[in-house]
Amino acid sequence: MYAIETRDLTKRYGSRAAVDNLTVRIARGEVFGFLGQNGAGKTTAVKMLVGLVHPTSGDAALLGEPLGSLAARRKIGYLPELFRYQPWLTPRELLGWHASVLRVERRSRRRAIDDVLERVGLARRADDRIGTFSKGMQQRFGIAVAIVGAPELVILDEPTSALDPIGRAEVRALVLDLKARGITVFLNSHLLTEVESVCDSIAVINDGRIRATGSIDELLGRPAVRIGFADGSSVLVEDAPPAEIPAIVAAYVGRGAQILSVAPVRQSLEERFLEIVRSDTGVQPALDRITHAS
Amino acid sequence: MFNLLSIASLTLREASRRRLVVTAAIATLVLVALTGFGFHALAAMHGRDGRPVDHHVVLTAASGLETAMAFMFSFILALGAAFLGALSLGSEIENGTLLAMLPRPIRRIEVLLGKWLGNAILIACYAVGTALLEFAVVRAITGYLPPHIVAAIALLVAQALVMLTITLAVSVRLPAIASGFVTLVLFGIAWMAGIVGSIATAMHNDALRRATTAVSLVIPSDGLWRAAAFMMQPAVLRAAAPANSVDPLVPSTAPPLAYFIWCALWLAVVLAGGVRSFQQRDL
Repeated sequence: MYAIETRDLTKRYGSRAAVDNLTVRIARGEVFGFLGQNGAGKTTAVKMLVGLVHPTSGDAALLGEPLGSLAARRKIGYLPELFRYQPWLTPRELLGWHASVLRVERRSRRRAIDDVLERVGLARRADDRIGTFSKGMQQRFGIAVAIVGAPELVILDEPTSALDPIGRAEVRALVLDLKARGITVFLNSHLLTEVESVCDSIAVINDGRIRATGSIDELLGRPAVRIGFADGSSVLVEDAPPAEIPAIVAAYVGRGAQILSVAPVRQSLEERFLEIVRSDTGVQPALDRITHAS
Repeated sequence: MFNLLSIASLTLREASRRRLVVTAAIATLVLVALTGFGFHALAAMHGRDGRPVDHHVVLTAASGLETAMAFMFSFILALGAAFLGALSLGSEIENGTLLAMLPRPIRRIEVLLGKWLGNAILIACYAVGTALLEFAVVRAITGYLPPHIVAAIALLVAQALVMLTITLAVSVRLPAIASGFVTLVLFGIAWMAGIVGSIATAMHNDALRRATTAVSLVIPSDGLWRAAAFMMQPAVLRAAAPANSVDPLVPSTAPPLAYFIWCALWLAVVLAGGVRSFQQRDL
């Protein structure tokens, strides 16, 4: 059984398809990255998964339960892209409401709330009003809401958009911690380095359609290794299993070569993403044009 | 039912945390104190001969003034209901608060009915508390107590619930400010239709009377107000009122029982429409 399985999931607004025949299968326990430009259809797709937007056609199942059903929603946690929480409540009170709706047992509720607040670094602010929090703290709190009640699937829509670099690193660690606990994570982001560093597999969406999907290795190719020598020359070792690289380097050294560097070489996710989007639309993304112009 | 009650509880807690309860309590005390001062002045009036005004005159004047106050209060309740309803759901849809709540295992019907229940409790508590305090103060100062105060208060609350229901149902689709505005416009239309309907009845204009009756069925707020005003009238005034009074403060008849059954059905149907619209809406 998949954590998420969609079949031709489509959302149309008039004649425009915000999401067009989305078909993906995400294995349980996987960290899945959903990439796309602004307006590509990422958030609409996510909102369909959590029952906020009704699909025009198509079907999906979350953890084996029908899309939008109470049974499915009982097993998921969600951080919306545009997050806002009742400013007149404290984190403990609002998490208490979420835990009660999820039917977390009353006697274990306090411990569960303390645990998630600790994991997002808000334990000391548990009894302050949410309205006094900075934007970044509210986003951390949103992650706490998403992971309270032991969900089996956590859907995070741009989880680091309001965070500083330290906060982003902490969220990356949190995502990996969720993975270690066997929880499936659906990460909706346009921060490519973030996705590359934590995701097992990826889908790229553009104009509402999936343009590429697969594991990081499948999308980026297996990493090659460039061996640099003291005389300035270098050799590119391609298609060699990573375990064989030390033996190859040792062989060069054994033949008397003076090696200065051994560096992995692989197309970055950002390069691959731009390549996919550019080939799809025929238009160079604005950011890419600026980068090259400068 | 648990989820519905938890939403109602959140609504009540919000009113408390946002100082709505305290503010309403202070405003009520100020209102009652000011009107109490007015009624005290009325009770202490003297005639041209320097003697105190006859007690029956004071009672009659007090009954008229109290009905006028109830009329103003019904407007405050209607305005408050529109305000609460619009902020309760419309603004939470607009600002995204519901985005983190609705993906939970909670039905949209539970959210909407929970908000209706929470706000209805607020409105009822405010109406009952303020009305009883006002009645008690006027009774202590002038000795006058309107007849059927329980029915009158219940009808005032029912009128506010009509406004709350309209606002919540409309705010499912419209922004908060627009839904509040729509509700107040409908309240004004119903009020005018009530007056025009009385004139039409007096002038035996059946076509106009039927049209205004239709309005009072579609927006039953004015009919409920007239029933409340009728319940507050002392028997003497009822007997003296003209058969086809156009004055909304002195209605000549109360609506029949069928009207109240209609109002209950109306509430259920409009709420059901709001729920259905909410369930179909993308957020």
